[in-house]
Amino acid sequence: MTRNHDPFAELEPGTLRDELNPELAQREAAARAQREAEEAQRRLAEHARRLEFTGDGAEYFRIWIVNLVLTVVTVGLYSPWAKVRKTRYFWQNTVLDGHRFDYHGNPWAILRGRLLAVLLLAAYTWGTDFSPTLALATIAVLCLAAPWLFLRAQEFKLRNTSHRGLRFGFDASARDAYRHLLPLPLIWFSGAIATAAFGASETTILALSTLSGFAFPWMHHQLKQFQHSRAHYGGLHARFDPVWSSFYSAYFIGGAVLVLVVIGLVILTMAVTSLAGPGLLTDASSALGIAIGALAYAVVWPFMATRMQRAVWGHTTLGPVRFWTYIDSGDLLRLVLSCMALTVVTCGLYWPYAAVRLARYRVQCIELRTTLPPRELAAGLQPAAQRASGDGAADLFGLDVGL
Amino acid sequence: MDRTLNPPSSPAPLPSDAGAAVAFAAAYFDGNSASAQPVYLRIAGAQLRVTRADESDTLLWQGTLHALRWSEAFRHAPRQALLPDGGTLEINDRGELDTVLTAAGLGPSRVVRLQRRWPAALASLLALLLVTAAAYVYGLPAAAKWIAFNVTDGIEQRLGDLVLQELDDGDFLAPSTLSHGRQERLAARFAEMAARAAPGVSYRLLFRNIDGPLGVNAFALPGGTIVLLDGLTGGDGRLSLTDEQILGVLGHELGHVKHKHVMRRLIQTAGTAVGAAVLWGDIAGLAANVPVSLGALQYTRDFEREADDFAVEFLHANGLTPSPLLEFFRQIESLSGSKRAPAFLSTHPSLKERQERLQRAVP
Repeated sequence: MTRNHDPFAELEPGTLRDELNPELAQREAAARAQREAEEAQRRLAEHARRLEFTGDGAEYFRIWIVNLVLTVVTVGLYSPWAKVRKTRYFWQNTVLDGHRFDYHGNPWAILRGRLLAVLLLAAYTWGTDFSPTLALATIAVLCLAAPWLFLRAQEFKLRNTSHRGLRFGFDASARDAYRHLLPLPLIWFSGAIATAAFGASETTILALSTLSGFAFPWMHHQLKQFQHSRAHYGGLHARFDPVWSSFYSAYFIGGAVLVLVVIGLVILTMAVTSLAGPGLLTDASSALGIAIGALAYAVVWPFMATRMQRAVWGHTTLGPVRFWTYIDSGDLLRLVLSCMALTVVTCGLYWPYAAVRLARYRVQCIELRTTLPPRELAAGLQPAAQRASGDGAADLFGLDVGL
Repeated sequence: MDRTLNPPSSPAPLPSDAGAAVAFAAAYFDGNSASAQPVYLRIAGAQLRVTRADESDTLLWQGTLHALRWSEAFRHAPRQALLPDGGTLEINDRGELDTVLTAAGLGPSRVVRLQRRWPAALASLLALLLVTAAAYVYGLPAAAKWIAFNVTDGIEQRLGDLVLQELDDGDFLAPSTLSHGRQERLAARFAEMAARAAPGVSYRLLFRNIDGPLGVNAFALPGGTIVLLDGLTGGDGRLSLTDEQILGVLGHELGHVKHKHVMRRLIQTAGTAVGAAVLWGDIAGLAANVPVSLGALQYTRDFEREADDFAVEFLHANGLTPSPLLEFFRQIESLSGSKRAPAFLSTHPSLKERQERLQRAVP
């Protein structure tokens, strides 16, 4: 920040005004600092660009239904091509400053990744039914491999996304990933690990479960921090300022709302079913339970997502670019409820329209703010430096974890 | 806000290579910086020239259209193309681009053509419904049956043993309070009847006890273990059943064993879950479970019907009519009251339906 004027110029030559009146000097300095901050803010707002989304529900419905039939008919083998097409649709319809994004994922790599995931899932599911040792071994392998898998997934996702001809990137070593992320599955499965290792008592398991429950917002934050702080684009590195207190408040509020909603729904259900007869409740309990769960999730998720999105975007920077999101929990809640109602009523056929509406809302809430004019910023960007060793592995398994 | 970096769409006239050439305005990114350079694309047949859209008219690239990787055309998005040297073209002014590309042999793939037209989309929807219905009604049950009889035969016994061990160890099942004499008599009579009705089907009959309403039951585990609970054998006086009625119920359970219902149900539920994940996986993991639960319930109702049919055969092979089972249902009905969940939410067909099926079998 450069000062355009010499503070001493204000003084009349020869006076010792500052020394004689430090309070006045302090106030003047404060006022000056505030003016400069306001001017910087104005400059930031001047070059604010909101993202736009040009996707269309009807168009996406047609794409979705055709790809779905192909996926079902091929028993899921076509799904990587469907996924690439869907991702390209959503990226190419996202506009920043008149230019689009793009996605270049290789469907074959994604297919290999998905087959691997199916194998692991099958081993775990059949393991729990037939061979507890197999299930335990699978969990152990997954825990140990999880950081590496997540790293590869992020690399694959970001390296295959581009804007204005430059690719994004993700820069983290395996050791980095393990240091940051290994505590997560270890804490989450601490109960199972304790039981397997030395046959823990029930109280220990309860204590560990409570601990991992309390640690969950922190774990979520760790994940987001790792994701955002290692990304880069055009030679600019992303930074993420820790904000785990916001995550804790989001989860706390979400939990409180969830409890209220579930209690309300359960009371409502019991009132309704008492009219119909006692047999209804016991027989339909599983279906009703799922319905209550889905409704509660739909109501609670907008509150939590809004808080966390605001926290995450507000604390992420990419070089001189700052982010902001205008997401509002009331708007999001209405959107989610209407989408869910229409999807249920149409047995899922409304889903592509809902996906487009949700994407449009979330994308169009995001704003980029820079002090540099975009042209200058664009001119200064460089292509990502290629890491020779990493590329092959990233392309071998197109892992997508959906995070 | 200066958004269009594309120049007005009237490029300078072509030099010597005239002919049927079409020109488009585009934005070019050279891959070394993010600056957008306005360019003109001139396409003649399958040849493409990319020139800078200013007075210099510098040639940036030329070659065949096939050397570029073209994106699929979306209605509201510009066409993008990747040049072999790493540059990217963003073509907002699409005009006849699709026609020109098709003429050069780079037209939309079959899938994309299907996606464009509403009749094709609706036909896909219809096809999806038919395929899903066929898979659910025929495909999955047939596959599960084949797998249960040919593939998982060996694992069944282990699975059943594991479940039984868990039930015993977890204090869910208590030892039976029935006298040993009665146990042996029932077991012997049942063995006789089973040998006549279902020779070659191996099973094991165990007696256990559960306190409370759940105790009025008998169930089958994979691998052929049939567990008979004290509530049915008259332990607490809620039901007074004759031996024939108890054996009728055991016949029903033997039907489950013979047809490997439990294993098939496991496989079919897993298959339904996978199917639901494929169909609705996009939406939410939780939402996909509702159709799975409903779908799985339909499968178990089918199995219960099949077991009831076997029970009739079982009684018939031993010279008895279905009336013991009918009597049993009547007693159950008076025990549980008339109001029950609608059929589609229940694991068993309605008592009324089961009674009607049995009535039809009475000679």
